[in-house]
Amino acid sequence: MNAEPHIAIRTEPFTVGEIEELVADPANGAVCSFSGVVRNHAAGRAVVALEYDAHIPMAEKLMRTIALEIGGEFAINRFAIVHRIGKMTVGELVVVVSAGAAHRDAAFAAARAGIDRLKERVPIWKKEYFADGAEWVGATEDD
Amino acid sequence: MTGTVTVTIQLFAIYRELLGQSEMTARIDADQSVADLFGQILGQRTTPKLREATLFAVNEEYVPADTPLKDGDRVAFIPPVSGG
Repeated sequence: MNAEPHIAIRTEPFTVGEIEELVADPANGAVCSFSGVVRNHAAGRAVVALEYDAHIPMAEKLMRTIALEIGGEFAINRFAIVHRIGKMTVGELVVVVSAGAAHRDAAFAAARAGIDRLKERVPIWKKEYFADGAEWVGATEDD
Repeated sequence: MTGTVTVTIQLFAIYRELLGQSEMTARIDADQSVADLFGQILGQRTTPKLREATLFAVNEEYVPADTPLKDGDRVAFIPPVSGG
């Protein structure tokens, strides 16, 4: 990587374009971004909103570790992971993982690895709000 | 050696809601592990499945369940993560 990765947990909304600017580099021939957005359903139930919580210092530390791992595995120039927390409604942007690289293969692979590893081990939690209640994902009896 | 240590417990997501606070202080016996502390504080409030799936962090690092605690440690109980 040509620069430190850009890592952040934010409470305010952001755009994909804003995050892609953070991975701009004259050596880039490819920029690939994964966007996670609030979906209107989960396991067959209608979802009206999501709320995210995070252990912020630990989450940012692990996101940085993941970004540095990925920088060592793929030929990328720059990398960013930005995740929003708080309550969001359907269609809002939750997370963006952006990779800038000379060529597309590395950019695609790095963005994919970034979101996969974040989901696996970064301490961020999602609460799903349904018409008739709400629950933290993975924390109920029937999950 | 016996004695007590004072630790800060950071609570997130389901655990923050179950206990109605995001941070608390606990004074515990010096030979207690992070899992023992979890058992004392949340053992009766969680299902076996959730207990099983919970990970532990001390000072912003994941640690094994049998990790002993030191005075001033910041402990976090990490329910199953669901970011993204």
